[in-house]
Amino acid sequence: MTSRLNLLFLEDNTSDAELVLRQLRRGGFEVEVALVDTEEAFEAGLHEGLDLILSDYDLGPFNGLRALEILRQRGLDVPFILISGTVGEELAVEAIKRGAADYLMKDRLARLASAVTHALNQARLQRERAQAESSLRLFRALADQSTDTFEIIDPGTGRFIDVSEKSCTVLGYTREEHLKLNVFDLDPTVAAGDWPRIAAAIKAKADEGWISEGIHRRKDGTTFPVELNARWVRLDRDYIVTVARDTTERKRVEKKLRENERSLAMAQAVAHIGSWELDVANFENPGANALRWSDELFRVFGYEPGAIEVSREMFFRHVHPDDREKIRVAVGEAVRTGETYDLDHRILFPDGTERIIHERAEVVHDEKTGRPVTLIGTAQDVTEQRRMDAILRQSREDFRLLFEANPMPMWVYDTETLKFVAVNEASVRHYGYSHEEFLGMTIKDIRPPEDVPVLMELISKLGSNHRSKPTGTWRHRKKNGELIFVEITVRSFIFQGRSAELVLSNDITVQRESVLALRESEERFRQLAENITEVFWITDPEKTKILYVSPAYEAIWGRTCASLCQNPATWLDAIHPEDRTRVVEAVKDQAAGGYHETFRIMRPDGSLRWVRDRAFPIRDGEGRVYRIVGTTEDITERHNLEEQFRQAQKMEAIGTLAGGIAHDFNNILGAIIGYAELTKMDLVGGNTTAHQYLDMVLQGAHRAAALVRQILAFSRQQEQQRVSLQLGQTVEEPLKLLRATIPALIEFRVSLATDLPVVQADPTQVHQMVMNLCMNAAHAMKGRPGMLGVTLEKVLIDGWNAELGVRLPPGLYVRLTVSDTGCGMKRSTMERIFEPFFTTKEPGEGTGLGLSVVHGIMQSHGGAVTVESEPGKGSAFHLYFPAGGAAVPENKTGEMKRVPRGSGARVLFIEDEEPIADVGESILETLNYRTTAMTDAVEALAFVRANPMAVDLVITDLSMPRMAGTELAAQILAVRPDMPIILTTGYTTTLNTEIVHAMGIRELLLKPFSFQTLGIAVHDTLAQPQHVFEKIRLAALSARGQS
Amino acid sequence: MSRILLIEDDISFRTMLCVALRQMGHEVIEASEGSHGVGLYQTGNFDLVITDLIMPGQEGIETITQLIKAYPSVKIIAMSGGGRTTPDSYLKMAKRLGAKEALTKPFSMQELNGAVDRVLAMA
Repeated sequence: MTSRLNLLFLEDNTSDAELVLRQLRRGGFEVEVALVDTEEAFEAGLHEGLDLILSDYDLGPFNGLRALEILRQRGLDVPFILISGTVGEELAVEAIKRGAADYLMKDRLARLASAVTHALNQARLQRERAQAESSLRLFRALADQSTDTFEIIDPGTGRFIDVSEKSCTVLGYTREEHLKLNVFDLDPTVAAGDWPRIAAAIKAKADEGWISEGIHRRKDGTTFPVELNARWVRLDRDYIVTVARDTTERKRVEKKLRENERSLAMAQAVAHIGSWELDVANFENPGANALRWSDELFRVFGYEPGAIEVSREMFFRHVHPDDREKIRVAVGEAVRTGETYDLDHRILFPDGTERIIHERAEVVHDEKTGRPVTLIGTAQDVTEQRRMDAILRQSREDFRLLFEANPMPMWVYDTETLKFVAVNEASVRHYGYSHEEFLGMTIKDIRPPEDVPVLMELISKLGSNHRSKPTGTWRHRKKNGELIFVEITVRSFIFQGRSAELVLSNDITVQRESVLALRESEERFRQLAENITEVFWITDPEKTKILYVSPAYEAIWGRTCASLCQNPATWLDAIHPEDRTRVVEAVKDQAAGGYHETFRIMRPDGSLRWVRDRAFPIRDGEGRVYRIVGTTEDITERHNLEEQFRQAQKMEAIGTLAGGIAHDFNNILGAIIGYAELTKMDLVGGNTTAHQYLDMVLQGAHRAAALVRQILAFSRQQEQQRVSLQLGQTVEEPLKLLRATIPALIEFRVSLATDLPVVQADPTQVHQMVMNLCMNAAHAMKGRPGMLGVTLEKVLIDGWNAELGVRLPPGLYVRLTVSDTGCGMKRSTMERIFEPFFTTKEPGEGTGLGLSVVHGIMQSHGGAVTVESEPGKGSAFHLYFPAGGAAVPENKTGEMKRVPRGSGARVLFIEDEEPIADVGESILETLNYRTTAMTDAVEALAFVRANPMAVDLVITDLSMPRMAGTELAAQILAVRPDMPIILTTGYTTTLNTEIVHAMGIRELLLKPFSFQTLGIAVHDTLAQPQHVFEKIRLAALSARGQS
Repeated sequence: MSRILLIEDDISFRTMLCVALRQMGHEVIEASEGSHGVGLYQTGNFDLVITDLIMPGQEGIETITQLIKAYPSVKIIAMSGGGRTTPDSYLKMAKRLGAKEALTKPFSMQELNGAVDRVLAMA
């Protein structure tokens, strides 16, 4: 076994040194040597790690004793062995005295190893002893100074072997008294018999120490709790060393603390407030665990209490990086100034979530030095609170914005002073007052003065009843004076401690205008819809609901609008069964458009009506059909007219056919009749039976001939058969008929003059007109008592008679008047009564043709019809027949006599139809006019132009191939303005007397003209002075200009 | 006995008239339409013309006009049984053009005889 040896060797003889080292190695040492030979080197080589110093004695200027002295001076406790070949006994004694461990002669080196071993052992023992002594001294001092008591106990007996000073003071014993006691004398909880067990337990815990709690009894008998810390110590023998600490105060404090802590923990837990303490002295010391946390603070940081080791680093690690500096500064400042601080900072939870912590810290100062010792703080998780704060702030801001930035004018006014206390931007914009102006005004100031009393009255009522608010529509006045209509909404609340109203004002001026416009438009629509004769209707697209139907429905359908709206199905029910299916099918397409149907409806009274129904889908903005509107027109009359027209066409066809066959038919009948008669002649005096048979043949043939005549007569219904007649007799005939049919309530008053001139008229037409006018008159009286008057008289018309309201050539007329005392007519009705199809009668009661027919007949008679009427007073129709013609029915011989004869005037007769030209010429020649007949208008014009004064009168046809009669007339008048011209025509549709008069033509003569009419016309025209005609012409011109 | 020109397109009626007029003691020359009649009239010495009005070819009104123009003293009896409306209108026109009598078809022998006698009696 080798032992390591750290050696400092002082030797100037290397061979000696080698020798010594070899000896040591041989002795079992592994030597690490520092060989030195000067004082400086020796001093440099000294250090505590040395195990041994070997030193030669004589080293020239240096020697072993000196080296020993240096060693002692250095206080190093290294064994020093002097090795010398020269020194004697005295030197050796001196060296030992000075502290050398041993002394060896160079020549006796064999003892070296044992000497070294011994020296080393001695040195170790020396060191241990010194240490023990030092420890013992320290221990005693410690024990005596300590507030704790130290006791040394004999494990076998439990007797106190030694006790500290403190132990005696605490227990009230002297050391002598104390040392006589046993453990169980001191601790009442321990019985004498318990000691060996306790001692065994202490021994078992010899390494880590035994800790227990116990009781110590003082000399005076009082006890106090102690904490015992015992240790089994083996020195020269076994001991038990105990340290007992009085824990009375600690227990009290602990108890109090526990209570406090419990309350605090509870408080902290409830408030989620954690607390902490920071040892300020160690604040900057990273190693020191200077920070203490309450349990709640752990929870605040997201940990279970104690789940993490608390430290400054740990704390900062959990603080949001951006907030760390803020805390450092605050803590530093607090420590420096002693001021408390208060701050919010963010922390990061273990899971990374961010929380906001409110920290409040106070500095605790040392009472004596006044230096900061501890920083005590609380930390509270205020995340929710701050979030709520933010929300609240945002919410307040939002509400402020709602008011301030609300696009609707809003304001708050004080209910007592009526002053504006807040107004928003929109109010300022809308009303034109600035904020400041508003705040200086009351709510009365934004109203027209005349509205203020109403407002004040309302507000005075508010005092007692706050539920009634001045809501509704008001007139407000802007700063610029403009009046607006506003809808006001009001809400009471407390504003800045005062009773106030929040008002929201909605300007509805434009809306109101559009509503008014809409109402007006609706009114116009209603007026239109309710006054047109067509039914105007609106339904939903499904046709299940009638949204509107105009009153004309009642007139046409004979049912009420209400009944239709209540039951829309009645619309279909009213349709004639034969038309219904077709209409139902067509109605399905109404929403698609293109519905246009004509059908029959049945009125409740059983009568039929023809209607034309049209519908149009109405679409909304998205193109969906949301309504169907339509019109329904009563076309019964038109339909009947069309029927009549078709009838007339049929008649025309029959007429044409009849005309065509009559000729042949009559030839055949003529042959039959002729032969039958001839046969009868041959049978003179012969067979009577044959005579009878032939009579039968003739009778049949005559009946056939009569039938042909009847058909022909039927087909020429429209043709006038004018004859010269006295109207009296013609008018009386229909009156006989009328008396039988008109109610007895109506009194007939007939006054027919007897001295009437003859007129040219168709008796059938006169008959028809009288019937027509009288029926109308009776109808106008509607079954009420009244008077129907029929008067015939002669009247003289001298030019246009404004009083009579008639335009007629001057002359003698027979006037037939039919009057009634009925309902009369409005002016507007009077103006229209002669229009074809105009009627005031209920549908079905008249065709509207009667009066137009009368008008047409009178016009074709060269006469006129006028009407006088006043609503409620009755009407009177006057028919003017121009007097003229023969007083007796025409006959061949009379004709010649009655027509005035001419006196050789030169007449130019132009007619493209040669036969007619011939007839005309022959008539005129007969009547003593020098007549030139021409068939070509152009030639005729050349003839006149050649010598205008060679002609006294021109008679021209209207329709001619090369030049119309009117054109010819105009050309002739251009050459000779006073030329009397008569225009003849077969048609009367485009021209009338007035028109031709205006053209400067004297007379319009209808073809075919008779000997008489032509003769009278020529005579009268030649007799009319130019200036008289000029007046008529001007009157016609002005009349035409007016119309 | 008189010499009569009878213008009539309907053969059966014409034949019947011929028989009747001859029985009345007159000499009758027949024509089936107007221009034929006018041609015959120029050749013979007729006392009376009896003409239908509606005929194919040249009708009666024209025929009458031509005859009267050429022979103002010609004696004509017009007869008609048809027309666009009634025979009367044409017959009236014929009379105005110079026909002395007008007969509406069908007529009796008596009417015919009376008319012929009256016209022939005219100066």
